Amino acid sequence: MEAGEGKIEAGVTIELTEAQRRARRMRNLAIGGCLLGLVAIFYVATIVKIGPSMMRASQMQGQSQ
Amino acid sequence: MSVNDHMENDISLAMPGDYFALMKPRVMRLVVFTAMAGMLLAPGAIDPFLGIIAVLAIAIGAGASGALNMWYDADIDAVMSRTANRPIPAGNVTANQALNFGMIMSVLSVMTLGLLVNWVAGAILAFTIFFYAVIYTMWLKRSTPQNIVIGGAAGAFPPVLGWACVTGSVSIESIALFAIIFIWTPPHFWALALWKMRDYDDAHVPMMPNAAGEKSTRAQMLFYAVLLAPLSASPYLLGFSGAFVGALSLALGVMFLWFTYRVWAIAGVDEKLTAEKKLFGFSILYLFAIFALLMIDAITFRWSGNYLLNGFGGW
Repeated sequence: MEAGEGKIEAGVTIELTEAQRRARRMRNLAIGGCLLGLVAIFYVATIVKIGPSMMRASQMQGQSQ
Repeated sequence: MSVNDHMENDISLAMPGDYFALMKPRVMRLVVFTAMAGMLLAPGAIDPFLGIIAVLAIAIGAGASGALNMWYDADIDAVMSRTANRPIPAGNVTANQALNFGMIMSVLSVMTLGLLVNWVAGAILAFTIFFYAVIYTMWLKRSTPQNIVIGGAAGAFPPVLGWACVTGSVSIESIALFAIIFIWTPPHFWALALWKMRDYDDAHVPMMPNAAGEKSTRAQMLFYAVLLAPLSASPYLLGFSGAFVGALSLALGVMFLWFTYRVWAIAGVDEKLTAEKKLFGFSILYLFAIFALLMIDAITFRWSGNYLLNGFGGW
């Protein structure tokens, strides 16, 4: 293979077809949605898991004062 | 200036729906259903939100193993009519995209289940994915006619997983639920294989009917159905469902045995294979009904302290 073969010249771009652009946009939206969902799951699960013990701790602190 | 003038670009046209199809949504539905049954039947309770996360993680883990299966099996899927329009043979997703997707989803689902629910459940989910993708798909499926007998274990893990999410352990009760699906799988699958035999032959997959012959397959199906009938009532015998549901489950098991007996007795004389198709249809109904009954019984017990129709007419 000669040097430079397969490389894209400067200033040359790949132009997506309308279908490719639409598919990429839909995939991006799906990945974004999944990541947001994962963040929300971990956020709420943290509150569910450690929330009650934090409430108890602050109540006990309140009683001792 | 665009490179399109010089060469074809290979930017993917895959839509999110194609990736969803990689996860075998119909199998996922059954996994969700049986995992929820395991959760409801287990002693104790799980926070409802964590319960939903657990079911979601189990479903995604099952889907991930489905994607890995489709990645590895794309060559044989392409030659079988039942699977030829799966995303890879249909050309919607490349094999590499399916592999990446399956791996990422596997890691995410196991991590989520382990961190947020417990690591016993996380470890069982990881093992289930490994079992389905490596032991069944890569090893057994193409090498032995016992492929779906042993591979059926992968499909039998969800109730054990659901149970482990609540209790953090594996017990004899969850193993009984495992056994019901495990013993149910061979007659269920071979009923399908008997009328799709040519497909498997074309794909060089050693399914029991084309490896050991139809006669032997029908006899083996009957053997599993005989085991399944009493096993259907095992939740009652082990004391985690009531007598009414126990009796109904046993009746379902006996009906399953009857349908399988018909397959064995007619032995393919009927060219349309009506008995096989009926057994396949009933086998799906059987599994759904057994787990639905167990769930209704568990909900009734949690709500009223008594199993369904318990104390009714001397049950």
